[in-house]
Amino acid sequence: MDESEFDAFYTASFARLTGQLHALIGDRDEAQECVQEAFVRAWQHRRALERADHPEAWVRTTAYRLAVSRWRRVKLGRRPADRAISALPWTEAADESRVALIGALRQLPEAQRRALVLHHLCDLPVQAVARETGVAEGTVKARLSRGRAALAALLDPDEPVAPTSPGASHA
Amino acid sequence: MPDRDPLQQLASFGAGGPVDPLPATEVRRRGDRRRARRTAVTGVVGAVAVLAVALPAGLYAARDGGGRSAPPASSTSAPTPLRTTIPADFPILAGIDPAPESAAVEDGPGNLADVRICGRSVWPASALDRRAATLPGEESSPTWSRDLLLFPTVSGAESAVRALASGLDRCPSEELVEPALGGRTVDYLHVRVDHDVAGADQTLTWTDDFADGGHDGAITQVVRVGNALAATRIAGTGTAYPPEELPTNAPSVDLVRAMRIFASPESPETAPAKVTEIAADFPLADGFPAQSELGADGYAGPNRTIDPVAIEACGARLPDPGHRDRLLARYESAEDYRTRQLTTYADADAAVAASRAFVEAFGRCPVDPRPDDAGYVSEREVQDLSLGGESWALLDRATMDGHATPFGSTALVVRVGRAVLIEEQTGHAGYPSARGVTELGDRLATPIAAMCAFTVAGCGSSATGAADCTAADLRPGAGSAGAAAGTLFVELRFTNTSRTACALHGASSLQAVTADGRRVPGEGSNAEAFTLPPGKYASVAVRDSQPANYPAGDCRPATVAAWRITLPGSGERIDVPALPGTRTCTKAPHVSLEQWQPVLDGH
Repeated sequence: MDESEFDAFYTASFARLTGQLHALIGDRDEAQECVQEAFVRAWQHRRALERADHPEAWVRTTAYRLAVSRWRRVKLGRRPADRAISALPWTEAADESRVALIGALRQLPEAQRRALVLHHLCDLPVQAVARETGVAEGTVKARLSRGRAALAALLDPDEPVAPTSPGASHA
Repeated sequence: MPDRDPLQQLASFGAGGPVDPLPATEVRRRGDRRRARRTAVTGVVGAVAVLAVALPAGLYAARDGGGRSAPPASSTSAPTPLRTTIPADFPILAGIDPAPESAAVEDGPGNLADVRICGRSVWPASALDRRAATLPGEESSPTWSRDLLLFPTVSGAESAVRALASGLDRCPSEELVEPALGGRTVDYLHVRVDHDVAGADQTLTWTDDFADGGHDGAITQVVRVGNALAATRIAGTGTAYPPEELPTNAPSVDLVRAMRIFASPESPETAPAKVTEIAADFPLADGFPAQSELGADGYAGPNRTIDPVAIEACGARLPDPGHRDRLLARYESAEDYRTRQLTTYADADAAVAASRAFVEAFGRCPVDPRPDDAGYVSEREVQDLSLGGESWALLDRATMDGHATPFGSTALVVRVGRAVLIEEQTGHAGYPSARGVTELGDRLATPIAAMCAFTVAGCGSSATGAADCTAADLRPGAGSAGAAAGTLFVELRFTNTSRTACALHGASSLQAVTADGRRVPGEGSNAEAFTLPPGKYASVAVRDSQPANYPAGDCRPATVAAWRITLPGSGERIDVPALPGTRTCTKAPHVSLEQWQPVLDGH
C-alpha cells in the first residue's frame, strides 16, 4: 500500500469509522481519538493491512480494542491518561433522537450493541459480524434479535415489542 | 412514539457529527516514526550483565516468601540515624529518561494507592513521608509512575514488602466484572517476576495482565533501601518481557542509587555507575547524508538514549553481551532509517567474542522457519568485508510466498580493537545491494578511523594511520629454524592476508603451549612501529635454549605444540604451530621473542 492509496483510504473512511465507533462505545471524542490512533497504527503496519481482506474492519477492530483498553484503565482505578474520559455531547446542536439512540445503545449489553452496530450501521452481513467478533453465526443472530428488542424497549417502553424478523436487507 | 424505527436510525447514523482528523501526511509521519523505533529493552540486557560482575557473591538469596533479600554487607561506615523525611530535591524520576515537562509531581496519596490485588490495597496507607510522580503516556506509550515511602523503621519497611509479596502469592488471578461490557467477567492475572535490582535490600516485581490479552497491562517493581520503599509502575504495556529485559530494570538501578541516602548498615553496595569512555566529540554521525526529507527531525544524537540496534533472526534477538559504553546516532529520511551504534568492551577479546557471536547468530538463520505475523520470511546472508579490524555485512531480504519483495535491511558490523560499530539501514533504502553495502562502508570511514582510540596503542601512534593488525588479518607460518651453540631459533612469519595495510607496534608476548596443554611463559619483545602492506609478512624469531643442555630434572622438557604470540598493537592472540619434534623446558624456561621486522622485499 503506497502513500496515495493509504491517503485515499484514510480520507474516505475516517468519518464513517468514527461514527461507527461512536455508536459502539457511546463516547464521541473518545471514538475520534481511537480511530485516529488506529490509522497511525494502520500505516505503521501497512504490510499486514495490505493482506487483510477488509482494511476498514482492521482499523475498526483496532480502534475498538484501543477504546476498550483505555476504558478499562479508568475503571480499574489506574491513573487515566491526560484527558478525563466522559460522554460529552456533540458540540453543535444535538439531534435529540440521535442522543437518545446512543444513550439506549450504551445501556445494552456490549455483545448485543456490537452486533447491532456492525450489522446495521457498518453494513456487515451476519457472517462478517461473526468473523469480526469471533463467535458463531447463530450467536450473532441471537444477539441481533435480542438486541433489537432491548433497543426498542429502551427507546419507547410503552410500545409493545413487535416480533422480530431477521435483518431485511442482509443475508 | 419514536420518530423512526431505531434500527433505521442506526443505519442512517453516518458519522454522527463533524470530524476533525489530522492530515494524512501527519498520520503517516507518526506511523513511520513508530516503525523505525525499537523498544528500549535490549540496552538493558547489557547493563544488567555488566552490573552482575560487580555484585558481591551470594546476593541472590533463596526466596523466603517475602521478596528477595540481599545478605547483609559488611558495614564500612558508622551507622547513621534513619531519615524521617524525603529531601526536597530527591530525584523522584531517577532513571526514567528523558523526563518531559509534563510530569506531575505530587505529595498526595500516590499512584499505587488505587491499585488493588484481590480487593486489597497494595500500597501501605501510612508512612512517615511520601512522594509520587506520574508521566502520562501518549497514545501508544505507557504511563510511568513512581511512588516513594519512608517508614519509621527498617523492619517496618521490610515487613511491608513481605506483606505485598504474600498478597501476590495468594492472588495469582482474580475475576473482574465489567458492567459496561455487559457484566462480562474477565480474568486478571498477577505474576511475580524473579529479578533483583543491584543495591536494593529487597526487590519485588510483578506484572498485571488481562487473560484475554489486549493493549493494556502493567509492570510494577518495588525496591527497598533501608527504611525507604519505592515503586516504579508502567501501565499500558501488555507485552511479555523476560526478567532481564523488563523496562523497569534500568530505571530502578538509578533509583536505588539515589536511595542510598536511606541505606542502613545492612544495605548492599550499589553497583558502580556506567562507564562513559567514548569521547563526547566522537564523530559517530560523520558521513550521514547531508539532507533529509524530515529536515532537522531526521537527525538524532550522538547520544546514549537512542534505542539500541535490535536485529532478530529466527525469532530471537541477536546476542548483546555486557559492554562498557555505548553511543548512538540516527538518520531518518523517507524510507531510509539508519542507526549507528558504537559499543566498547573491556578488552579486545570481549569485543571479538561479542561481534562474532552477533554475526554468527545472524548467519545461523539463513531462512526464517516461519513467516512473521505479516507473512514475510527473511532470507539472510553474511558477507565478509575489509573495513577496520574485522567487518561483515549482514543482509536481510524479506520474501513473501517465495517471491522477492522490496523490504529488507542492511547492517554493517566493524570491529576495531575493543570497540564494535554497527550501522543498520532499514526502509526501502536498506534493501541489500552491492552498491548499498559499499556506500554504507564508505560513509563509515571517519567513525572507523576514530575507533583507533580503542586500540592498545591508541591513535596517532602508527606511522601511516593504518589500523592495528589483528589475528584475522594475519596468516601465521614458520620460517627457517636453526640451532647454534645450544640455542634454537625458529622464525615465525605473519602474512597480511587482508586487503588493507595494517600496523604492528609496541609490546608483544610469548608463551610456548605444550602438547598436553600447558603454557610455558616466555619473554616478549617490543616492536618499533611499522605498517604491513597486504601480501607482505612480518618476521619475528623465537629463541630457546636446547633442553638437551640441561639435566631432565632441572628442565622437565616437553613437546611444543604451538607458539602463542600476542600481536604488537591489537594485542590479539595467534597460535603458530611448532615444527614437529620441537621441545622446550617447562621448568626454568628460557624461551624469548626476538625483534619484529617487516619483510617487504621478495616473498
